[in-house]
Amino acid sequence: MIKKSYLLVLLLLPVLVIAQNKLPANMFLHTLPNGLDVLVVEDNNVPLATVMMTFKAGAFTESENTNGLTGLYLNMLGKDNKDYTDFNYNAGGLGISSMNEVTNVEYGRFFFTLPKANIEDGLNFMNSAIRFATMDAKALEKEKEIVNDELKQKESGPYFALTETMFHHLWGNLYSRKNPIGNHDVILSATPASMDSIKNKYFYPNNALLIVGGDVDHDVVFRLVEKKYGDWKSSSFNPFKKWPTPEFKPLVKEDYFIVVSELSKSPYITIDWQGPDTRNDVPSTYAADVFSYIVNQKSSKLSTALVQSGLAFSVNINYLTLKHVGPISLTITPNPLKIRECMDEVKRQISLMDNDDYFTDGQIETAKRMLEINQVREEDITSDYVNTLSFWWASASLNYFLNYNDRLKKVSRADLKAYVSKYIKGKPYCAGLLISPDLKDQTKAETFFKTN
Amino acid sequence: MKKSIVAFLIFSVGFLSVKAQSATQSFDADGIKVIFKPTLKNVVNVRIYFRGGVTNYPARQAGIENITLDAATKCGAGKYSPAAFRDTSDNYGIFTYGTSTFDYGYIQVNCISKYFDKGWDLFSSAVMNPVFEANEVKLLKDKEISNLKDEESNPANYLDKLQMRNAFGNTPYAIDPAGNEETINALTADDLRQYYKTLLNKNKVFIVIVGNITKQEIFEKVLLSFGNMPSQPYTPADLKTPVLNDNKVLTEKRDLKINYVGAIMNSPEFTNVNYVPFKMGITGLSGNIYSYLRTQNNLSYSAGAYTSALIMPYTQMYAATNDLPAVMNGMLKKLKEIQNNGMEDEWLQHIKNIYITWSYINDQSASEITDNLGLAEILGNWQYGEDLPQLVKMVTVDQINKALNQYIVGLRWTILGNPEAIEGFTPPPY
Repeated sequence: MIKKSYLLVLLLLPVLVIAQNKLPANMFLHTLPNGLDVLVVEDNNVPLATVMMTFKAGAFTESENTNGLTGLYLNMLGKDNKDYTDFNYNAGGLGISSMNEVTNVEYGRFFFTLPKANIEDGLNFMNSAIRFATMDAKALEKEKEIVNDELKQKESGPYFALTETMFHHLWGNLYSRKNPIGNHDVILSATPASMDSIKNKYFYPNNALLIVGGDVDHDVVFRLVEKKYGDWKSSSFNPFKKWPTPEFKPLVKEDYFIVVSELSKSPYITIDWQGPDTRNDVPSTYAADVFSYIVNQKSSKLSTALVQSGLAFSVNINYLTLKHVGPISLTITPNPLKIRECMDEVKRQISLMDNDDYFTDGQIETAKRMLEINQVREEDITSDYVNTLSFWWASASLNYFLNYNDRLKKVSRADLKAYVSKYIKGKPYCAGLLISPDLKDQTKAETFFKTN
Repeated sequence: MKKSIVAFLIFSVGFLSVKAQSATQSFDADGIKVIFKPTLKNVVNVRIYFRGGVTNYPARQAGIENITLDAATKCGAGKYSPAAFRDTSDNYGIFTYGTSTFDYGYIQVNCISKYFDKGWDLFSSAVMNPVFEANEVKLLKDKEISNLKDEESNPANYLDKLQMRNAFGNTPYAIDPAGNEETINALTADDLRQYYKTLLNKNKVFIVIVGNITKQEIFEKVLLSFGNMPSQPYTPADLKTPVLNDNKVLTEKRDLKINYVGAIMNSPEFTNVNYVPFKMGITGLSGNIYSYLRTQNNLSYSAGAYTSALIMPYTQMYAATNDLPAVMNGMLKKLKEIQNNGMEDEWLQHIKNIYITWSYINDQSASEITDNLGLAEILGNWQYGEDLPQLVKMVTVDQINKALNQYIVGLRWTILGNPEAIEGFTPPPY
């Protein structure tokens, strides 16, 4: 067993060295023997430290019967634990602010920011929260109601119904794997045992990244983390091999649907494709980002044809980088008086997207520059930047992110055309229209919002 | 008072946050007040503020300032056609926009230091030479109306609008700074052009700049770009905050999965000696409401209280719930408790700790710093904002208890959702 561990370390060592070599001067990576990755981002602009623990968990691990339990579990980490019986009050004593937990498609994270002078206490606080939450049955009963209310609040906005319906159309019977908020029935039927089940599958150090960003010394942080988290036992299994995420079925045809809602005050369209992911087609993930930044420029053919013409008030395309099929989403706020014309033009634009003249060389360069500027902006605020790092670690890898700008610069016109051909033009998509009952009747939306 | 869990504080404190130890300075550049904070960061943020807000125009023109300031950056400016302005913004990752609210409006540019000269050129063109091309104004109006409808579909946003009407019905704040479909539709490009002339006045504006640049650079840029700005006398409107000493409920029906409720109360002005103690007391109240409604009784996912930063200030309690009577009683119970029993020293210290952290968090962002300095200047004096951290440290429990009782003497409730849910229920008199 010991030999195996040594072998593992030796095998991993070159990877870690490569990663460390590529890290910016203020970033330091260290992996504990139990597999916990620790990333320190030094920034002494303000005397703070942000502590964030991220797990590869979330919707992608959830079946229909467990959909929402990861989020509920993370919420319970913010309750009492064996070291703190008055958790939030004690957080105030440490000057902890912006404490929250977030569950998304491919990650679950718990984080807070506190004065740098309290970093040791903060690391202990995090350790107690993520390892020793009591998961008290009474507290769980209350939290279930609260999370259920959170879901009701989301349902009180007009866009929730459109998003939820899109999940069902785009991902079929695996929609739960893209739906972090979960559903009422699963949340309300959760038990301490189901919380344990979530913990025992995914909440281990060898499935986690601890980021400490701010006015700290990386050597000190590494020492403190080693001391406090060193005895955290790793799992003896790979959860993603033991409970693999099923592969999403590719779409086979265009699929139009209309969501009629009294809550909708202005119409909204979303057209989604199944895009590339970081397991199967890394080059296309870079092309996807450059392409999005081309099309989203105000001078783009898409924007000119829709927004400057008055057919739409806004249009945006986005690709979400994920390990398990990232969606490509084209969203449009159409002029309510011209929804039909807007949709006709959208379809026409999609058919043109791989033409040689659909974008200029200048627009390609602008897109790459915009992405680079975005990164400069993200790095400017360390307590936010840790979110970016956490996201990339979960949906790709730290190396993916460290190479990000270099890879973007290498994206060529041919790469962009290949991406459009492979994932967008002529490919099946799901198109949803959110509309009020009155506007639907006026526009007879069902007569044109459909497959040709 | 018994120690309370102050969970909500940890998520958001909501104070203005400007560092006392920062090197912020103010100077006059040919009659224009400039507030400048140098940083070592890569992002630069510049705003020109226009004083007056909703007191600058009549109700029939609601929304005119908001759309005029945004149009200045979107409908052509000086040598930039609308398309050229958009392309230059995209090419260098520069964000420019204009907006207006109850007490002020501003035009903003945000860019990375490397492209600050490009950003300044766009910004100064928008401020000094907006063109208001008719076709672009028409597109912007349509988009603005769509945005208004979208905002209205968000129940929390719409509740805020209802509350302002409920509490400030007979004051200038009854005017919605965003306007409505009717008022926006009625505006022409020429209306915007004429209106902008009334704003462009050295005595009505001030500039806030935060970034990795020098005072000399700024001084020269302001002189060169804005030296020709007109200078006219300006007297701000005299706003008198209405006294909210009753306990009224306004309801509006909307078929929602959950009901939204808010209560507005009075609050001291920003420069009043009671402001900081009161604000800290409300932060404590917010934690108690969150703890009581969410943690202890699972009545609401989001509940709390905050104090607005306006010339006519107010305080608000809010929650989303399926049990309106229980939540409204709970809010009143917590309010009465803190008014009658005050708060403990240790609890206050925790609030101070969190405030200091929150303050530093905001100090990382050029945009946040600009926002806080500008707001403090509008509400009295940017330097007062700078002093806030020190004032927070000096606050005592007695000051908080006194301030909470002096200013909170009644409530205006507003409910969006299912009004039948409170049939037969009357909030206890205040």
